[in-house]
Order: sequence, then structure tokens, then C-alpha cells
Amino acid sequence: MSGSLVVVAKNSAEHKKWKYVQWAYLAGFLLLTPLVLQPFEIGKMNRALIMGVAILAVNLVVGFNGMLALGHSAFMGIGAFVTASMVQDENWDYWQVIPVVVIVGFLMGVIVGLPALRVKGLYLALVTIAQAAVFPTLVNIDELGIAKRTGGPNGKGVSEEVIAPSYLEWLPGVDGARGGSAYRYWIIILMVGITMLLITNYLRSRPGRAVLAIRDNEAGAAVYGVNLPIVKTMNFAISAAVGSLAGLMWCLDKGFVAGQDFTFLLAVDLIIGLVIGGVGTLQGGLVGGLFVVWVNDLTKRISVPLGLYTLNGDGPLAKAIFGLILILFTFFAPGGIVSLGRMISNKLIKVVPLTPAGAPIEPMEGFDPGMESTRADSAMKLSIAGPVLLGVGWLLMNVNNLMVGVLAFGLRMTILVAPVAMLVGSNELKAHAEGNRPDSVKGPASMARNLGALGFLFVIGYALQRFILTY
Amino acid sequence: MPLLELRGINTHYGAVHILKDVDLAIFPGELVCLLGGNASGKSTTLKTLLGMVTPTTGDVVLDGEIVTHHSTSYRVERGVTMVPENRRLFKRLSVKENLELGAYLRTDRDGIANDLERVFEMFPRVKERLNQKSGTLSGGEQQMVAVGRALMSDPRVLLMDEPSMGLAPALVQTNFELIQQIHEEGVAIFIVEQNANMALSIADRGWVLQTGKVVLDDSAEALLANPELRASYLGESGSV
Amino acid sequence: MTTTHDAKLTSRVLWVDRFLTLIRITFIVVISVGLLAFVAQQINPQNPFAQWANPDATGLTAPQFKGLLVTGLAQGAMYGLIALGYSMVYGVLGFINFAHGEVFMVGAMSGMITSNKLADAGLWEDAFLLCLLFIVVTSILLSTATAVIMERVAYRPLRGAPRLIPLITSIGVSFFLQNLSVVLLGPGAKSYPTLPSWLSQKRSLVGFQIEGTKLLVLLTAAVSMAGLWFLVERTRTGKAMRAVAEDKEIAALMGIDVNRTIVKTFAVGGAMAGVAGILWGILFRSVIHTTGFLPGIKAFSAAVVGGIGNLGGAMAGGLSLGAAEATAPLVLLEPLGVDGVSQLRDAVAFAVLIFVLLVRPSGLFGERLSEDERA
Repeated sequence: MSGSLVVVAKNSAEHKKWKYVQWAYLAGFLLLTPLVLQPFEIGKMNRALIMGVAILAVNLVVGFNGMLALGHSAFMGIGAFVTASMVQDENWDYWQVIPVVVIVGFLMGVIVGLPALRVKGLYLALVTIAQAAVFPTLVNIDELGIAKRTGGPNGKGVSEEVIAPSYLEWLPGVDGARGGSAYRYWIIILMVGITMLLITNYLRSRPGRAVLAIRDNEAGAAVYGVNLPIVKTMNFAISAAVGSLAGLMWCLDKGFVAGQDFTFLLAVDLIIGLVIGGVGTLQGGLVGGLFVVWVNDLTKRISVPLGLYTLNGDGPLAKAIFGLILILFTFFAPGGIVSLGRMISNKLIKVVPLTPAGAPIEPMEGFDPGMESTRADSAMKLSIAGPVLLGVGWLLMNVNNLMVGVLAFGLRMTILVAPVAMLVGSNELKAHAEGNRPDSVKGPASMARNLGALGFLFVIGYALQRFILTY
Repeated sequence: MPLLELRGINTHYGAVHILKDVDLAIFPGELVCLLGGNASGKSTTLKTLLGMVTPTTGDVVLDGEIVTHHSTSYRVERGVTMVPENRRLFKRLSVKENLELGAYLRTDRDGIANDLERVFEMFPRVKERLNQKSGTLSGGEQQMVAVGRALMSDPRVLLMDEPSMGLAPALVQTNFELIQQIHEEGVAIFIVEQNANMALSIADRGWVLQTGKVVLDDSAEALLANPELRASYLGESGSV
Repeated sequence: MTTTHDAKLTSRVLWVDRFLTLIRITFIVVISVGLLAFVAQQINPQNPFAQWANPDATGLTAPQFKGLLVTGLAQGAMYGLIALGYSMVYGVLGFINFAHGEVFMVGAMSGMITSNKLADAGLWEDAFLLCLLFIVVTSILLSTATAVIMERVAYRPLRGAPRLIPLITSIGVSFFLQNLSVVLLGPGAKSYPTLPSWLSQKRSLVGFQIEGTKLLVLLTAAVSMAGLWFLVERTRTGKAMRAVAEDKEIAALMGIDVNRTIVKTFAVGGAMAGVAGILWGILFRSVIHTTGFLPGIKAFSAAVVGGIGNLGGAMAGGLSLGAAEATAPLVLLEPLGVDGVSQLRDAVAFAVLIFVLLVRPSGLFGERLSEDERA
């Protein structure tokens, strides 16, 4: 029985319960971010989300269509410059710029993609890398009024800062010191959500399925009447439009755009984030965005004391390490963090499909008593681990101020596992009451349920406390 | 002693069991054939003989030496070579270069020159086309170059993968005459064919491979007379 | 039903074709109008075309044009040398080795170190040609080693993986090498020692005034190319390389050690990049860790322009790309009234690439790919 902690049948009440838990987590995470983090950390989160959208755009081409695109830094740049210019010079609102940016990005995608994709998918890599290489110099060119629009080598700032209007001040975190970045965080979250939704639908649509078919078997797709150059180019153009949208968000968040922000290094960061997040997964972009932004920051901080910090702001050591990480991931975890995460979550909960008759394919209960008691045991261990670490962290913090990390880890651990332990424990107890479990299950199961509930209460209390403290 | 031998070969591609306990022996100077339909394991047998596929269990024996884990080039150096299916010449290289590549592992200049002369004698057409890119030759000429290229390695046993595949019927006949001619010079020949009739008409002995198992092992006359074989390979009606 | 579907399909194809034709026509119009304006400028320097946007524009003089052309050719020769490595690896393995530009950078860096050491020892000025030979040999050794190690560590384990994977790995390798160079040698630009004055003098040759350095670059490139041609076309190893590039399975059947031949291919490409690195150092006298990036992609563009997998094509592609990026801004664009054309060098190089992809997708001299690559 594959050793999963919980096995649920697809679309059963049980499965729905788990889905609610997942959504609750996501909502909790999103809600707590602007409350808990410092303003500069919210800024990092925003950057991670923006990178996430850009990586998702790259993923449309690389992960879902099987072609290498390396020039999305340029599309981001185009989006950012169009936004900066429209908002600053023409006094448009950001939301008014959105359609313009999407259309411009799409057209640029067609122009760049068509000549290469008509010939061979591999040439796209070359053309896009060239595009990424020339973009930063192109925006400085003093011709056709380009430099006037882009601010040339000095970059272009948007003088008006984005702050919440009074009727939106009820949003969590949108007040006082962190107001601006928290408000931008909410705008970005909304845009990320809508983009993800649209892309999910696109991939399920007819053209989206053609895109996937090309990735899996190009010749086969052609035999079934998929027009390869057109589908590839349209997909690339859509991806370019999404990339430009990320550029818009960049401008919105930073309020300043310059050519040297959109070099090939940014394009490489996108690829690294993609591979590490998970090629061909929707969540991979966001995970990769978080990874790139935080690890970039972290390694940068490590590089400073080592004297390996260059003026352009990137530690070479960090980049060398990034290169290594990229190689290692392609060797050992080509599915990225998302696939690793799926492996772990499969250990916790496994969703099995139902047979047409309505019975789950894998037997759910009363199959292997030994295994069942292990399940309760692991739930118990999980439920203990978080609070124990929390306690240890608290003790250590009082003894020695340096051990805050353990506390934080314990807290996160509790947040993650408490509800799982609670649900598994109560499930097992129910099964025991129905006579489907040996008596040995009872002890660990009730412990898991009670401790889990306690941990869960603690987490809710903690969140409430933060909430009240901030307001 | 057999020149080239498979002993109890089992081969797997992942979980799929391709060859099941295959035993074959080719003696010096023999002309033998392996018959089998699609997906019967014929090409895996050839690849195993040449060392392009390593069997899970069993041994490949060349001239009394176990060569199961030796490279292709080791075996080619010791007198095994193949004329691949569809000829597969190096189309961008000239005819001469193709022939020279056949003798890639040899260092005896005189021997190479002799063998080149022998190929020219056998195929005067090849000599005329010597500096042409081999991709520009006709199908029949390409077949000559492919056989010539194999002969350039001075083989003791020549494996032929589907020699009648993709050739016009008239050429198939000449091709089989050619095989006999090479055989008369003392080279052992192992033909892998779907065209059972033609192969058995020139072979001494033969095996029939079915889903990875040798199901028949007999002299060519006996195989030709075998009713089961006649039914499944020679297109005659009858019980299978 | 079928007919309407077919009609829909045809109309879509037409739409794409019209669009492509439009781009092609735009390209050709820009080129021909630019050329016409250039010719007009040569006849009458007060050319209305050029003065429409920029009243001060005057035509190029013949010596200026020749100077640009020679500069472009010298740079193009280096692109060509680097392109050989891209082209050979693509021909054999069917993937772009993005880290090849970094092999070139390693060559340039090694030359920087050894030449400065030699200059410190006082040998550089006195025995320049000997020193040059020495730095070329060391640079070839180092860049060849880099290329070979790269193949062994990063690419060979991925043979047979989906084609996207080694591509991404090569980006990782490139990134790693670039930043390793910063970690080892520090971030700033580093310079080559001053060249002896007899070398940088201008010499006249068939009506061209050529600086000695550029002459040296062109000569060295020509010698390397000849050496490579001999290796590939006339030796047993070269025959094996060509056989492996065409059909690995049959090459193995001939007794060729395919893996070793692939290593040799990487090594030869690396050696050529090493030579190019030295030439770059001698011509521009300055190297930095990102030196490999732009020449690298331009060289790959040159390989595509000449026809990927085709060695003569790679060299010709490099020369034409170099010449085009040096002359086109001033010959085609300035007469059209575009200012600041010198900033457009890189853009022009890639415009050439796009143009070739549009009008002759298999390159100017035709591509040579392996059997499984041609699909």
C-alpha cells in the first residue's frame, strides 16, 4: 500500500476535506506574508512573484512546448519600458497599460518567434539569446525617440508611487510603514492568480493541447493536422505576452526601469528558476521565483565577507554556485522542486481514482493491519516533532539568543504538520471504532489527534496574535 | 569449433524480455540464415553478436574466446562484420572513403590494397564511381559499396541484415548470387531475413526465431519442407 | 466538412506566408535602398537621402570603407574559428554547446596570464613571434582541456537524454565557468601587454592599408583553418569524425570508438576557440570574464548563417558576419539617415541571422546533420 499516510478516493468527501486544507494553507500563507514580513522582505516576495510569472512564461515554451527560449528578459524589459513610458509620459493608469503591454508583447513574440520556429525549434534558442543580448543596448539607442521613451542609459523612473486608495486600506498589511509594498503585493497576487488561471485554461483548450502534443511527439502531432509553425509561434507569442506582463509588474513594483536590469543574466535566472522549480509544471514558476530571489540574496550575503562582491551587485561565487546547482538539478532532479514536493506529499496523502463501480482501485481500509498502525505511528511522530522543536527553540532562545532559527523551524513544522496529524489521528480513531483497526492503533492515533489539534490551535492563536499586534 | 557462437543468451530492454535462451553456432565457411518476422528479436540477435547490446545472461563466443563484454571494435578487429539493413552508407563521404572506413582498424597497407583490388574485381562499377559521394549512387550501386565496405575489414564471418530489403526484385536475385560468390571465397555468412524462400535456397542451415525463442533449428532442406514454416513464412495455407 | 477544414488550413498558411514575405521584403527594401543611397553618396557627397535626417552626413571614403572591411574580416575570422567548435559539436551531437564561448574566454584568459608573465620576464618585445607561439600553444592546451573535461563531466552522462536537458546543462556550465573565472582572477578587465611597434604598423597590401595585427589575425586564422581542413578531410581521425557525425551506429560498426571521436571533436573545437582567444587578446588587448558571451553567440549565428555542421560554411559565415556587422551600419544605415549607427553593430549581426533564417533556412552553404538529427 505504498506507505502513504492517508489514502483517499478521488472526489470523495475525504478528498474534498484535504483540498480545503490545502487551500486554507495557501490562503493562510498569502494572508500572513504581508503581516509577518518586514517591508524589504515583502519587496523580495514581490520580486519572487514577478519572477514566478516570468518563469511561467518561459515554462510555456520550454516546459509545455519543448523548445528552449532564452530571451524573456527582453520581453520583460519591453513590458516594463512600455509601462514606465505610458504611466510617466502619458499619465495612464497601470491597469490601462495592461492590454497595451499584452498586445505589444504578443506582437514582439510573433516577430521574434516566427522566423526561427518556422525552421527548427533549436534555432529559437539562438534567436532568443541574441535578442536578450542586444536588448539592453537597443533601449539606449538615440533613434526613433527610443532613448527619450526609455530614459536611455539613466533608466526611467515613475514618479508617482503606488499606494493603496482609502477604500482598500482594510487589506492585510496595507497601512503604515509597509503599506506601499504590501499593497503592491496584493495587486501582484491578484495578477498572478488571474494569469495562472488563464494559462491553466489555455493549456486545457484546443490550441493548448496541440502545444502539449508537439512537445510529446512533434511528427505525430503534425500527422494529426497540427500546424507546427503556427501553433509554436502562437504559443511563443502568448508566452512573450505573459513575460511582458511580468515586466509591467516589475515596473509597478520597483517604480524604476533601466536597460541593465534586463540583461542576459536575468534570462539565465529565469532558466535556473524554471529548472529548479520544475519544468512543465504550473507551480514550478512560483517555486523557482522564490528560489532564485532568496538564494541570490543569500549567496550574495555570503559573498560579501569573502570579498567576492562585484559592483554590479552579483556575487560571482553566487553565480558560480547557481551554475553548479543548475547542472546538479538537470542530472539528479530533472523534475525540480515541484516533483520532489509531489513525492513527499504522496507519502502523506495519496489520491486514488475510483473504478466505474464507485469503489476505489486500491483498498482503503482494513487491508494490512501492520501498515495501518504504522500510519498512526507516523502521524503521532509528526505531531510530536513540531511542538518539540518549537519548545526546544523557545528554550534555546532564552538561553542563547542565536537559536531563533530552531524556533522558526519548529513553528513552520508545526504549521505544516499539525492539521495533517490531527486529521490522520481522527481518521484512524474512527476506523478503530468501526472495528477496522487493531487496538494498538488507538494510543498513537489519539495522541496524534490531540497533539495535532493543540498545534493547530497554537498556530491559529499565533496568527491571531500577529494580526492583532499589527493592527 | 564454431567461429561465432551464442550460448544461452537472454536479453532484456528494461522489463521486456527480448531474447530467451538463444543458442546459435556459426562454423567457419558456412552459409546459414536466421528467419523471423517483425519483432521476433532478429536485430537484437545481430546487435548481441556485434556487441551493440549486452545480454543479461549468456555468452557470446568468438573463436573460442568469450567476448560478451568486449566492444564492437574488438570483435570487428577479430573478423566479424555486418552489412546493415538498408545499406546505411556514409552518404556525404566518397565511395573511396566509405571503403577505407571499412578497413578502419587494419594497419596492413598491402592487405588493404589487395582487398580493395578484390572489391574492384567483384564490382567494376564501384571503381568507376570511386570519387563520387556515395549518397548519389543508385540503390544497386549502394548495395555493392555496402558489401565492399564490409569486405574491406577482411571478415571471417559476414552478418547480413535483411539484404533483400528495399531492393528491386531483379536486384534481390543478383544480390543473393553475390552472397554466394563471397561465400565461395571462404567467408562464413549469416543472413538474417524475412524473405525465407530466397535465404533458404542458398543457405546450408537455418534457425527460425519467434518472439525471442529459437523454435526451429535444422538444415535448409528440412526447413524448406517444414509445413509450419511453409505456412507462416512462405505464404502457403495450412495449419499454423 | 473536409473541404472547409482544408480551406481554413490553407488560408492560415497563406497568412503566415504573407507575413514572412512582408518581413523578407522589408529586409530587402532596407538593404537595397541603403545600398542605393550609399552609391548615391559616393557619386555626390551631398546626398539628399542621408541629409534628410542628418544634414552633416557625408559619404564614406574608399580608405574608410576598406579599413572597416578589414576590421570586420579580422573579427569575422575569430567568429569563424569559434563557430567551428559550435558547428562540429552540433554536427556530431545535435545540441548547442552554449559553454563554447567560455572555452574561448578561457583561451583568452590563459593568453593574458602567460603573455604578461613573458612581458615581465622581458621576452615579449624581444622575441615576439616565439612568445606568440608559446602562448598559442598553452592556450590551445588549456582550452582543449576545458572542452574535453566539459564533455566528460557534463555532457557524456546526458547522452540519450531529451535534447533540452544538455542545452540547459550547457547554460549551467557556461555560467559556472564565467563566474569561476571571476572567483579565480578577479572581476575587472585585464589587459595584454603592449605589442611591439613593428607589428601594429600599417602595411599596404593589394590596395589595402592593413595594420600588422589584423594581418596577423587573418594569417593565423587562415593557417588554423587549413590545419583543420587537413585534419578533417585528409587524416584517418578526420574520416572517423565525419563518419560519426553522419551515423554513430554504423561508425561503431566500422570499429570507430564513437566516444573517443566525440571527445576529439570537442578537443579540436576547443583548440580552435583557444587560437581565437589569443587573437582576440592581441587585437583588443583586453579581456574580462564576459568576453566569451557576445562573440560566442555571434559565432553560433555565424555557424547557422554558413550552414550548421558545415566547416567551410562556419568559416565563411564568420567572415561574412564580421564584415557585415562592421560595414553595414555605415554603408546601409547611415545613408538612410539613422544616427548613432555604431551602437547598432550587435543588432546588425543578429539581423543578418534573422535574414538568413528567413531566406535560406539551411544556411548559405547548406547544413550537414547526422541521420537522427535530420528529422
